[in-house]
Amino acid sequence: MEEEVEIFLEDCEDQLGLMEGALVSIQDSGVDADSIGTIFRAMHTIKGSAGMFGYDNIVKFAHAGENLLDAAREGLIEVNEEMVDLFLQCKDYLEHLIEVEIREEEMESSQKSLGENLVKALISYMPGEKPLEKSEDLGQIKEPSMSEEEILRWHISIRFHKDFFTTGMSIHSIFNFLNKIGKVIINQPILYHIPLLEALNPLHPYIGFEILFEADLPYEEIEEVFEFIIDDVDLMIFEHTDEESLSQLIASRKEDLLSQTLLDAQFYTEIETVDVSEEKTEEIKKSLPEVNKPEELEILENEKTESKTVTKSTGAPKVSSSLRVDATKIDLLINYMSEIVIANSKIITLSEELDNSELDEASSRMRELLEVVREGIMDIRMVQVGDSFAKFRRIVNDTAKKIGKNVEFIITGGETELDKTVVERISDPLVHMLRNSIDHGIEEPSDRIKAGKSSKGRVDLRAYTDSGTIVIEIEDDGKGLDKNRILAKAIENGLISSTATLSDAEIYKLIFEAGLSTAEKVSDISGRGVGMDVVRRNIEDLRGSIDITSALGKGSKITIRLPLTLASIDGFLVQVGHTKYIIPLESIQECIELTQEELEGMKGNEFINLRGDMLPLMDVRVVLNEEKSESARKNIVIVRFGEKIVGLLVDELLGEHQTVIKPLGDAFVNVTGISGGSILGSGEVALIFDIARLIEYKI
Amino acid sequence: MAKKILIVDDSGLIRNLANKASIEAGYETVLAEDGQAGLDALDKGGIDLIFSDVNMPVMNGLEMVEKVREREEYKFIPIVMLTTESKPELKDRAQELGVKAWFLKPFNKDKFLLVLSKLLG
Amino acid sequence: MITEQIKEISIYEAEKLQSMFLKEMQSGETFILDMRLVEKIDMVGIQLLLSLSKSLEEKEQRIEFINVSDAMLHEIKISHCDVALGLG
Repeated sequence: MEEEVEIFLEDCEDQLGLMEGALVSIQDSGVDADSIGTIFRAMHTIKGSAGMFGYDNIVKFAHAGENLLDAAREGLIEVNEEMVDLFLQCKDYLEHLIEVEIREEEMESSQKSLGENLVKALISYMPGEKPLEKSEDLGQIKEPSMSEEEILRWHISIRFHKDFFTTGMSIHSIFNFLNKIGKVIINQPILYHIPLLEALNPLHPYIGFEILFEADLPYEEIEEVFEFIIDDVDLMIFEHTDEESLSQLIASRKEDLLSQTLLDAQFYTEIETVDVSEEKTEEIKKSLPEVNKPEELEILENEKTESKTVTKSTGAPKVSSSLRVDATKIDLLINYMSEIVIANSKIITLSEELDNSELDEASSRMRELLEVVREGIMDIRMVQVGDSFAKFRRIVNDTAKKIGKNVEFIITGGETELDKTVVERISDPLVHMLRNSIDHGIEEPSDRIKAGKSSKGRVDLRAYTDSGTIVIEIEDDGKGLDKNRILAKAIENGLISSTATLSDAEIYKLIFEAGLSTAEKVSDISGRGVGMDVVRRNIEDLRGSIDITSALGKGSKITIRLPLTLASIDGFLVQVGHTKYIIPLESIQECIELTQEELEGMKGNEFINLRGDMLPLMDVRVVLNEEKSESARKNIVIVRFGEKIVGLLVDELLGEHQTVIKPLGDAFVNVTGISGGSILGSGEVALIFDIARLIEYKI
Repeated sequence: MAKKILIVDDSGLIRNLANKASIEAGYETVLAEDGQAGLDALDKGGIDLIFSDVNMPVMNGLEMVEKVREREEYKFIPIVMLTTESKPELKDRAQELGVKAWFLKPFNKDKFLLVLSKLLG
Repeated sequence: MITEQIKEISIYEAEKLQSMFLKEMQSGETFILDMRLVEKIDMVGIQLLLSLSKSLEEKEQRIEFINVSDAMLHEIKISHCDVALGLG
């Protein structure tokens, strides 16, 4: 895709997002002027930029939407529920239309007729329009009659406003251009207004032109030829065969010699002279097909009115200046950054070896600065989850509507920031889980009343940060998970043996296994048993974890934990055997040095007593088959992921280490608990622990 | 004689795009990276159309247009602004100065050539 | 006959040319316009010539163009004013 088109597409996506947000807000809390304004502006912006790229179909469609929205904005019509639905449909259609246009594909005929119907529907709501059923000939109005095979002939009549010449615009260029897109059959200069030389103001235009133009083009395209001069000319364009327009032209020009000139120039073989009184002329002038102003200038005008409304409303528009940057540029920067960090580590190592305090100081300072820069770069990638969450509102509303449930959807923590890649990759799983909550969690309104709840169910989507991870929760107040049914189903499907004893948490977690769906009735919303396992896998791929708690009859809560970013971690370097490992700093609770006594006291025990609590221990050396080290000392690094705490038994604590994750390649794919590698300043490779999986392994 | 277009934009990318498109279409071009450079380029004479950005260092596009209009030999030259600015007051001012077209960036080549065609024949 | 050398018949020169033409018209001779050096003509110029032609007709005089280059003739023909100027 060309860069410009890409920018256009991104812009459209933003605008469609704004539109949707506003529409959903109207659905939720009723019509308000701000939302209508937002939708209007979004529609208008899309129209404007589509026009710039010559996507005429988008322009036409958006124009119809914009007209109605403008009428709504002006208070000429009242927006009802049906119209909100219509606008939502239009938004979806527009999205599709944009895709199709960008790919330069043909629109499927079903979609095409959908588009036409939507435009009809939009027009039907316009003030003064007849209701839809009665206006069947709408389609014909849009299309100029091009029924016959013959090439269209247009009559173009031009007179110039006083300033025309001084604008520097050249009518010659227009004539040349006409000849490029069609054929000028006759061009009759109108000379009778040109005065004698003494009376002439050479800079004033007195001349005019009557042109017979042959081109197989619609009205709009002929009109567009004049886009740059339209403000400075008096222009009429109509089909050569259109006698009515001809009479109107002759009447409105009020030029005695016009008819004769046209006849002499063989425009027409005869002209029926219509006797028109002064009054009537005015009337006709008004009813003349209005020559629309071209795109750019129209934007100008609309924006003027827009700015008026903005200043009127009390809420000042948000001013945020932003810059679109190709994500790969940032990735590249991160990559270089990691190289610099590595190179600097090498300097630090060297300065320690050389015992040069000045060099040491300089390299430490360098490390600090690099850290600042790194954080800055990482921060570029961070986006607020709210924008993405707002899109779910629509899905929730649609889903609820479709299956006849009444759901209130509440988003909290939309301002929480997360890596854009993570946001994008988490979106589908979240949608799936939200649909699940509505479909399986929330009961039918009647059942809810029976259970003593309000008929309206509630689904919460929350985001917040917790010790270096982001937590996303989906909570519903529905019927909760039925442990026994999950268990039965899991046994039936051979996921677990019938004798297995599982904790509640473990049972709930079974719903994330492939091939387990507890819904009795399979709907097209969810319930085919595919999905939740995919959800879990997606989240684990993001180095995240997923948990579910539930209370029968009260509801369920799914908790997802994700790292803030995928690109780098602050780690803690430890040594086990001959290998160095990095533990993500965010998961470390504390480090304890084990005394020889304690070590002996353990005697293969897998727990230690930590201030009265039993702390499960994990000997990294055993788990990862490391050789026994000579080091007599043992350290425990206490790590936490979610609610779970484990002590990792390691040999040496080497200190904090800020690191960029490098993927490890296929050889390490199946190594439990390792998520990647990093190259240390010394050139050594260190392996990065995947604490979530490591803990899972242990438990 | 090929028509000569003055392209004024501080962005090298835009200058290049416009320049390439114009030359391909058989026009001659003169390039300038800000308003002052644009004015200086006018001295060489023979410019038939000015394509200019608005926001530029040293001298912005509208200041340049104002100065262009003060010059006898370019009083009536067609001028097209190419810009991301869309402030109504700027556009009003531009229209007063006889700027005929106001384009939002980014522009596509076909549209650009169409404009040249309509303005220069 | 216009003795001054005219290089362009355009918006930039229109006012100057107008007074020059008016003066020349006084002579009452056949109005001959030497287009040899004319390199540029625009709609303002053409309109000026049309007005001149009309004024001369009024006095039962006429204008005669000499040394019209192909390029200039082409320019005039685009607006189809060649006929009215007797150049068709």
